[in-house]
Amino acid sequence: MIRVKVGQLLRLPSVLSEMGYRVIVPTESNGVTKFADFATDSGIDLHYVRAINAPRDFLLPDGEKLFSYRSTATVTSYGLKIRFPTVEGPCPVTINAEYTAPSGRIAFFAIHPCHANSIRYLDSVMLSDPADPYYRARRDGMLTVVMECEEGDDHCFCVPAESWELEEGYCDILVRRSGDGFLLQPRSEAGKKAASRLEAQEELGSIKERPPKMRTSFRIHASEEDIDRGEAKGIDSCTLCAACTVTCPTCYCSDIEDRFHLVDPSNVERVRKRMSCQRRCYSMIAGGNIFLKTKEDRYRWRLKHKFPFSSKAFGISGCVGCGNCIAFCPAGIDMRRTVGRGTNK
Amino acid sequence: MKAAFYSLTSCEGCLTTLITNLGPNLQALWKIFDIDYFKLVREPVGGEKVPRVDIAFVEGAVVTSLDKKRISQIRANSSFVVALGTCASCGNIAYTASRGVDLSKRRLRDLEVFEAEPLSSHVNVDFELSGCPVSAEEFTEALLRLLNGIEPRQPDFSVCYECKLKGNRCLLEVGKLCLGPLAMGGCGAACPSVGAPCYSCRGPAVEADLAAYLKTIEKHGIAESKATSAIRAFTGKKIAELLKNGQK
Repeated sequence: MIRVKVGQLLRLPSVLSEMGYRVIVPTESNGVTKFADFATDSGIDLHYVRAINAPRDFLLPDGEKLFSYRSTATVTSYGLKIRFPTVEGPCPVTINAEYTAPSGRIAFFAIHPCHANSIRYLDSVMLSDPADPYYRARRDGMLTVVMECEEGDDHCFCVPAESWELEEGYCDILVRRSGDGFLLQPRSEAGKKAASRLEAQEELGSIKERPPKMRTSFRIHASEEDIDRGEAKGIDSCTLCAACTVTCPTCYCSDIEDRFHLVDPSNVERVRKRMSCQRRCYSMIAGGNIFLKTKEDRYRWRLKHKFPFSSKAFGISGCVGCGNCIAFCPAGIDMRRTVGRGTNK
Repeated sequence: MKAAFYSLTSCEGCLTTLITNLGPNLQALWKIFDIDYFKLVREPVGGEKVPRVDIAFVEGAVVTSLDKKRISQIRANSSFVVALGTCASCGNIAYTASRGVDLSKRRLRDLEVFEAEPLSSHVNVDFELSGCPVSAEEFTEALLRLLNGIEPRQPDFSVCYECKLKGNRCLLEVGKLCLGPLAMGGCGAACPSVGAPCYSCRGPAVEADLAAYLKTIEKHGIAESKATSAIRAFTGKKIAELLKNGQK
């Protein structure tokens, strides 16, 4: 364990950057905290409680190019013709995927335990057989500097969601506020190497994560029946803006798109775009039918995916209790009313 | 394949945007199509005559007697008609501005002037591309889909969705009247990203819900009357449907 001053802690991102990491730090702009790439003039926000985006946005970036291929498109006097599977039966060309795996190691500075646990959840989804090669390439060699929360805000519930503890491999350096400085506990070899570059005094003893103070206490009851029966209060004011899924650190649903270009029509790019279960086309099938028709359907579906479906499929809950879906909802819809029991509020 | 680009009563901003934003793609457009009519680029091949084409792109609202004549000629001569921009798809500002005004004595040279209407009030429109002005990227995507016999699609999300993806602070939270939750997305939340509220220049979103929106803004202390008058500015003809759904 080492004790450092604020200035020393703030040097850690540049240290990591020198070590060859792409460093992601929390920055404050226009009243919201947002993770962004570290630059020497980044105003790092060490006091944030919640951030509008999450490590997910860097591990699974929106609009990521998966590969490109040449189609049989030709420009003729009759116009452009691109042949591909969905239109005219089997694809007449073998798709020779040209792609380069993302390279470089990524380091997250001052993420909270809920963020670290969101990475754990994404791992269980994206790395389960068959593993997603793009995610794996970004994930490999990742380093996390986890900053403990002392107290959550009105929307936090990581203690009821049991996501304040850190599993091995999801925290390389644990940071705790102590007096006017910080205590740093390296937990891995990479973490030790980075911390040793801060040239700080070693102290005896070690720290282990502890639960932050919560303003609410309740138990989560989120079986399929609970969610179906639970009240969906305020859902009539939902505008389907999808803020709940966009700001959720564990939402990973995506859509695949082929992008054509006018200038070189035979060059097709296949990209992965973020998708949300609150959007109409999420449940749309051929013929234009949609399964999740109403707001309430989509709301309950989101909760079911987070809790019972995730527990069944991956053995862990998809909700890390960060409270972003509550805090960033313009309509103020609170899912704790549906899945929480015995609330003291 | 033949295409044509027409302008009815408008600022010609949509076609200008296409010319400026397509850049090198504009030449590609000429390679793919025989374009007999695109007045902003060159003199039409057959003069003012409406040519027979596969795809017609029409910007602007139907305001004058000439517009009415032109749009029916265009429809009769085109296999697929695309309304380009909010004027053509909703009626835009002209729709609301021309209501409640005595137009009987107003003339534009020798043309009669009527209350502004979107194309769909006069003819069947096959596809609508929103935007004031239209987005060149969306235009290209729709075009490439059309060429492949796939139905082009409109964004199924509101401006809010892209705004949150960009990590912007919600403007409703700071008490600004932002129409983001009602507005059709696809613009990349251009205005809210620089702190200016959304005025729904692309018309209403596919699943816009005015009643829910009014409840939401009430929570943020914004008056309902302010919102309903702001919505009228760009949504044009589609306001009626929106208001009907919005009745509590």
